[in-house]
Amino acid sequence: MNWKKHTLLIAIIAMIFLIALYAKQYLYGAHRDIASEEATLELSAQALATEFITNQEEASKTFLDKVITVYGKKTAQESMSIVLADQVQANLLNDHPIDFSMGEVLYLKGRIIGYDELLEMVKIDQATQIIKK
Amino acid sequence: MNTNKLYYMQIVFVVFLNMAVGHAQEKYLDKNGDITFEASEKLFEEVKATNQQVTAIINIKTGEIAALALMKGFRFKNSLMEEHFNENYMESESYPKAVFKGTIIDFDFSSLTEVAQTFTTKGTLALHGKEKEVTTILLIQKESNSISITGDFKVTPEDFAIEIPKIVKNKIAKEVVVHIAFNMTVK
Repeated sequence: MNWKKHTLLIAIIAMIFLIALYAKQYLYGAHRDIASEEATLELSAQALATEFITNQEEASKTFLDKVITVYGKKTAQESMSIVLADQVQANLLNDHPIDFSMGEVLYLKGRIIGYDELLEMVKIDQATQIIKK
Repeated sequence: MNTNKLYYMQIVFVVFLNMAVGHAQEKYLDKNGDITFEASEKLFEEVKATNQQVTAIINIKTGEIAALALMKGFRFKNSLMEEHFNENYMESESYPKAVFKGTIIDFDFSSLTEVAQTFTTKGTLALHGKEKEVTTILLIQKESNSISITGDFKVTPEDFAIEIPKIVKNKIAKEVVVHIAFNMTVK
């Protein structure tokens, strides 16, 4: 009887501990690690922009939050961002130097956050794996 | 006759070129502007997010200003809060952006200095399918080859028909303070 009580008590404590752990994980879980995710799609900067220009609503449903690989000629850059084909602005995850020249075709992976009508560009954040092909 | 025609065409070309260049220099642009909003309540977890990829354009001739922030670009410390912000409150897939369009009253580019001056700005903020008139004071200064604009204004979730569930109502401030910081260069 006494032994049974003990086991029950331990089981309950273990259960509470597990629930607390699970709750903590749920409430304060880590952010999505975009850098380690595989790209689900590969397309040109132009093709991506065209999707948004032709049907923004549909494209938002399809592409928002998706991790993709996009490629195009580098047409501009600022400290933390690269512009591809004047149609996609990708902000880099890490502060590494951008040592690519204008006009070079670059591939990069990142998360689509939406279409910016003021710039007329698709914006991407947390871009990594910037390669010249 | 032919040389005359060519001559006229050249003039037209130069005039158009001047117009194009003149037009370009009227606009200053920031592709990576900052907007931070905070709706924290004392004793509760911070409700705060920053978007560092905001686009802002100003026409220095007319004082017209426009800014666009993509909802998915707002990053929270807490990932669950970010998820709720996008899925339950802003419904970012249906309303992916916040757009402000307005005018800086009595804006005069030539009077800008390296010391920040205050300007009243009136405009409309559109997000979550709703629009609201916003009037705010902006601090504007000229730096070597850029214009820096900062300011704060307040909005409420009700302004934009954003429903806050009862269970979290006391954890989110009634008024949301929005802070903007743009550093614009010639487009």
